Amino acid sequence: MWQRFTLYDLRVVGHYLGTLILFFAVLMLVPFGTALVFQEWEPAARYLVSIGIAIIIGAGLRFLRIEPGRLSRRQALTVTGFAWVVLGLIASIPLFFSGHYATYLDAVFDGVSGLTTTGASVIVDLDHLSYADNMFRFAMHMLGGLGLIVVALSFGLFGRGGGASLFSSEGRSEHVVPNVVQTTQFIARITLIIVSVATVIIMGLCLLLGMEPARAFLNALWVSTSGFVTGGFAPMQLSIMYYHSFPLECILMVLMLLGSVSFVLYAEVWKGNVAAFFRDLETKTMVLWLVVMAFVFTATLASWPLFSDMLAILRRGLFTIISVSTTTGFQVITTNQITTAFSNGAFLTLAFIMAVGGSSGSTSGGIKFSRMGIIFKSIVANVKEALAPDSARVVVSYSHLGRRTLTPNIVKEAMTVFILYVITYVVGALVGIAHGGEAIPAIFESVAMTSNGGITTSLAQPGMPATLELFYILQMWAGRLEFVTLLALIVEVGASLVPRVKPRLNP
Amino acid sequence: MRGPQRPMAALAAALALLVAVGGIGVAWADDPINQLEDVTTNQDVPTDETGVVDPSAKDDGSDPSGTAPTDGVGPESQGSAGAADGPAGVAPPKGEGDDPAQNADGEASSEGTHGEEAPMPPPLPDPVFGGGVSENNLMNPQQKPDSSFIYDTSIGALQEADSYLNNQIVQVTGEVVGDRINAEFNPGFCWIVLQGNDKGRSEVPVFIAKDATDGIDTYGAYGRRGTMLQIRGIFYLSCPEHQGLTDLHADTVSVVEKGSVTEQVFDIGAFLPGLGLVVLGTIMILVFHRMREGQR
Repeated sequence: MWQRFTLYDLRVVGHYLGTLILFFAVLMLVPFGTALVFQEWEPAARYLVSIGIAIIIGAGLRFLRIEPGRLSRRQALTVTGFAWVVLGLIASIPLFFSGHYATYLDAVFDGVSGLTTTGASVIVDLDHLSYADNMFRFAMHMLGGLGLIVVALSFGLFGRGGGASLFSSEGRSEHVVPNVVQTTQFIARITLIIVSVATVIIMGLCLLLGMEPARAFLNALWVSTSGFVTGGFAPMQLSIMYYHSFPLECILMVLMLLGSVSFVLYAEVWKGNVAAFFRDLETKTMVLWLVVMAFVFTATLASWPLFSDMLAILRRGLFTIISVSTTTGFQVITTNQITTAFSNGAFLTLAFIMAVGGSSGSTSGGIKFSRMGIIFKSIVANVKEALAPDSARVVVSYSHLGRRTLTPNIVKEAMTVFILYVITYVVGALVGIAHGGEAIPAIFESVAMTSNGGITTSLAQPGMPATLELFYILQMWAGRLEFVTLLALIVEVGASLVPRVKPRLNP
Repeated sequence: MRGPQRPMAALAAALALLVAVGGIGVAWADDPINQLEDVTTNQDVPTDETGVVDPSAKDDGSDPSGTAPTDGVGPESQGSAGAADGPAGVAPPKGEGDDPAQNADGEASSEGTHGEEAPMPPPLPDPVFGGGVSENNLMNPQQKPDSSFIYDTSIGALQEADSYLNNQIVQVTGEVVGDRINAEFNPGFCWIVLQGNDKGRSEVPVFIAKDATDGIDTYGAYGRRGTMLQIRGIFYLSCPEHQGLTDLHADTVSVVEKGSVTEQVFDIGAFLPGLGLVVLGTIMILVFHRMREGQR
């Protein structure tokens, strides 16, 4: 029997969504302040209106329940599930009225893409976008990368109610420290430190490249933010190609890799337990996977005449592998090169790398190394069982924050999410093909959306068909929530909409 | 669209002269850059002071309108491949070069004949129709696309270019946007970005000498329209000098239009709707808190 939403549930969910929207209004003060500093009066007025709308909607929703009480797990799942899309809708207001979007749905697409740190963009003429709008795009990345709920919890927005439920509903199951609020504050602190250091270094590089100080600072801040939260938005249309700087690319590669490492491992390293990082199942899986895929990718590129130069492969190929593996989506090659200068094999290899993604508990998307590692361990366990005598009891263990034993439940969870990802990749590809796309770009695009990778080729374009765009939005949403929260939400909404069947009384 | 056609006509004519007088065969595309050094380069093409190909530089007064009729894009070069319809300074043989349709074909005169009727070779059996066919019409299956022409194209076309445009001399016009980025390991050069005016606002990075950027008065950004440049240079789909980057190495640069800055005018009236909404929202928050306090 599926559980239905009661009116009380909806009122509580509405109240907390209103709280998040009010918080989002506060976030919009950042682009508003940027507009004032740089005397961009039109964006300033636009963001003021957007802030006003957000406050009214948020405050209005809070009236649904004056004293909401403690959040149940179901309610927490619903709040988290809806938050990404509701905030995406609010974000689309200032974005659309910037005049850089072909349709309103394009602005919603970018809003959801920014919050889910997908990084795919259908903006037109990015290089003439105001600083305020750009700042808003990266503020969304920061918020989404850390996690809406993580940020909200670290600010104490939900009071004492349902912190743990909310935390786990956002796809995070591991606590850095026992207290949820302290965990979220730790994540925020690590992010701020790394982004700040990277901003200073990249700003220095940008100044050496000849950029004006203000532009150097803003560009450095934005690419650092986007790199660490593995977002993928770039302030310039040419993405990282724009800077023509190998040192900058190296720093961004390090940033992206740091962003794809679980925050839990940061805590271990922070405590001085560096060995835990290298022993971890995710780290081992990551190294093995990247080495194998880098070899395959290099081999396919080298066999293709247009991109066989060793320096080109080293510089552009390595960056691209890291960018897609961490599901960031920064580019040092053009989309046209991916489809023209790369072989189909290289194109597809990138899709595979992006499909797996980064580490769990990090800002990366995709299936995650931990699940791939667990599935691999499960295969090993099956082989061992087949070879062992009947009386033997096979135990397979792995290292992840200490020694753990592989149990059927762990394997089941990993396999379920793995299969859900694969199904979504396939369905998304079919939707792309049904909209007239070529097979490989359709697969690539579908993977890019679901894994929150964000590199797009030919299908996700400004003014794309609304049905395709809506499906891509759904994929970004599902990928960010790692399916379970979204599926629970869909089932509950569906069950609530089906009218109750009254039991028949016997005559 | 008439503008770009004449320069192309003059270039086609110059190439035809080299083919006809110098006895140089049709250029092959194995090494287009070196090939160009042997045949002709942009420096050899007469240009005006802005670097644009100058039809008036012809010294024999041949009619530019009669040469290399094109639509200004890629196919132009196909049409002019091997054309001998009157190079700059040399009038084409009578009857050649006057008919645009004839010139668009281009192939027929690539042997460098100058109007004198050569004796026709005996007809060969046509493998398809069985009849005779002129030896002059035999197709060379090893024929490769000629690269010694300028593609007057768009930035959008470069952004979607396939290998056909790789290593070709192209001429594009667009707005300079962003910043001037110093080139790595090459202090005399820098990078700029040229943006097209197509729907998707396509862009191409341009590798250019720093001196050549002196004419840029504005770099496009929010509220700024960058200088419009016409740039001619070699387009690389995968540049060997810049580790596989898609770029355009500028050779000739000319300013088409100066940039402009839109003054941002502060208008308090534009802020009033937003202020009103914020005040209303704040009142709602205050009422909510009052109600919550009342319930406790």
